[in-house]
Amino acid sequence: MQAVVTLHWLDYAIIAVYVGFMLYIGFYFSKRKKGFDDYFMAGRGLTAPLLVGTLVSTFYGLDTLFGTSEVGFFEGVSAFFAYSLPYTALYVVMAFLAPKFKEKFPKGSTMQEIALYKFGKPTGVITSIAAYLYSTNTMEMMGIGFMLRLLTGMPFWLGTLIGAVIVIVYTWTGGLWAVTMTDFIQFVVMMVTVGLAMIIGWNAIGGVNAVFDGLMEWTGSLSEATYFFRPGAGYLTPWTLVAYSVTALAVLCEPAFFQRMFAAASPKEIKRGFAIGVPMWLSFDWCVSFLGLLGAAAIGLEIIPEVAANEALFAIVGQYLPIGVMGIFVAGVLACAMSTADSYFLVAGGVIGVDLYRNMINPKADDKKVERVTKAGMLVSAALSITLAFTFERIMQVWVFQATLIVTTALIPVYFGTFSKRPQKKIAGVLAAGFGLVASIVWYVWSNFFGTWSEDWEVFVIRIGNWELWQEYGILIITPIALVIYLIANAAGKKTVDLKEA
Amino acid sequence: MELSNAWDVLCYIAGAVSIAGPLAIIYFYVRTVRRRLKKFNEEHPV
Repeated sequence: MQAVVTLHWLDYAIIAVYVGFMLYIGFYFSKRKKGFDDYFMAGRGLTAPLLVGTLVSTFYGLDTLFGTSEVGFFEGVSAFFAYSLPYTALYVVMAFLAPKFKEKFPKGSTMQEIALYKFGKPTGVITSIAAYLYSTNTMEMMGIGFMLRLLTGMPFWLGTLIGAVIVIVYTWTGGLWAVTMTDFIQFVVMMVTVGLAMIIGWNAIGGVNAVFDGLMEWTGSLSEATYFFRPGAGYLTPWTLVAYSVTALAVLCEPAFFQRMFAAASPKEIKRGFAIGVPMWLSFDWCVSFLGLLGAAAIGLEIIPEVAANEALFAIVGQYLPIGVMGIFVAGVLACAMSTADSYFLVAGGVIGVDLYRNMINPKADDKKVERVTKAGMLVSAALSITLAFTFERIMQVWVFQATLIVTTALIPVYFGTFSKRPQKKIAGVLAAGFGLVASIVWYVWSNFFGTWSEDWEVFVIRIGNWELWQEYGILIITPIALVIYLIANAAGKKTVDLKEA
Repeated sequence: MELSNAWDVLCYIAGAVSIAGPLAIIYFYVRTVRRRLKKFNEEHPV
């Protein structure tokens, strides 16, 4: 495949220095860690600035960069108003809730432990399975492979493999300290480069009226171009929009967020971390959405050639950013992927090492043994991520599946377990979480094999009588049913579980 | 058709926040670390 952007040797040098520095940080912290708490929880000493960096960069990966810019390319400003704002609202909610989790579970390490303490081992195992599947880095692996193919023309599988090896090496060696420090650097690089691309690109093209002219040329009509500046929901159906918005609930049961909450130095620090993170998330979303829109306009103005939607971002920045800055931008894009991938590899390792091995199989295991099992869990997760990267076709499809899985399985036991004043019945957690996990997997397998593929909407559709259900609606159907199951089982159940923190 | 300049302004603000936000966080982080180090050195003289 032909590379979309041509890089100068200086750009390659900058990228090489960046990757080398990330690996160095991993080795630096591997020499300094003392025990498993230092490896997995960064000694529970993370302060607000580091928390902002790791929270923002972990949750925003290549899916946001390419996915949101792709939506901006097709749907205009609604990429920001319809897709990004529901997430922002939930970051604000988390700023208030996160300190409460830290206060209630001061010795906690993972989100799944809450389900274990409040509902017992079966619910702990079920939420751990969901967290493990959620934490596979399929999207990031797909993104790195896709990006290296765009830049160098190398095969997709080779790019995916190179990305996985680099991330695994420094996460394996340095643990959460290395992940947090690299996340912080990656946060700065990705934010600054996207901001630079926004200002330089928008100014170079001539501002909003030039963008509008470009969109008129591209779409061929005034009304189509006007559509790009309507903050409505674009071409999507209202139910799909609601389904996409509901995936934002994943913010509330995001395993990587919980690991960082528990690793924070105090409840106050985690609150400040989220509060400062909100304008960062917001500005990043805006820039990425508008860079996508800018790409569509640039095609209309014949500044860049006709490229695919997910290639427009690279084509437009390649057009305007000077040599050297382009290298920093590519490093920023890599940063987006790596900062997310390292966090989820560590979370996935924690599910195996902490949730399943230490908390359930061998509570007396020493730190070294738990660390070894955690690392083994990371390797399995990497292998699974690479395999899945070749299975799914669209990045957005992966995200909706993973969000459905974690929301339907973990949201109810974790939040009722933490905040409900009524006694929690063991059976309620098992049935609600079990239903969520099984129903999500069945729904996706069923719609993939028995649904019909809509070329117009690029989704799987299931037809029941006169009803047309999109694969994306799964989260809307399964979550309320899981809630009803929980409420009935909790009212009818008798046995309660209230394990104390380890 | 003329569009409101507010779009331009908002794009430049978003770009500026993306650049200045992380740099400000670095500044405050470094300042806090330096203060803590200074306090530590005062409390633990060589």
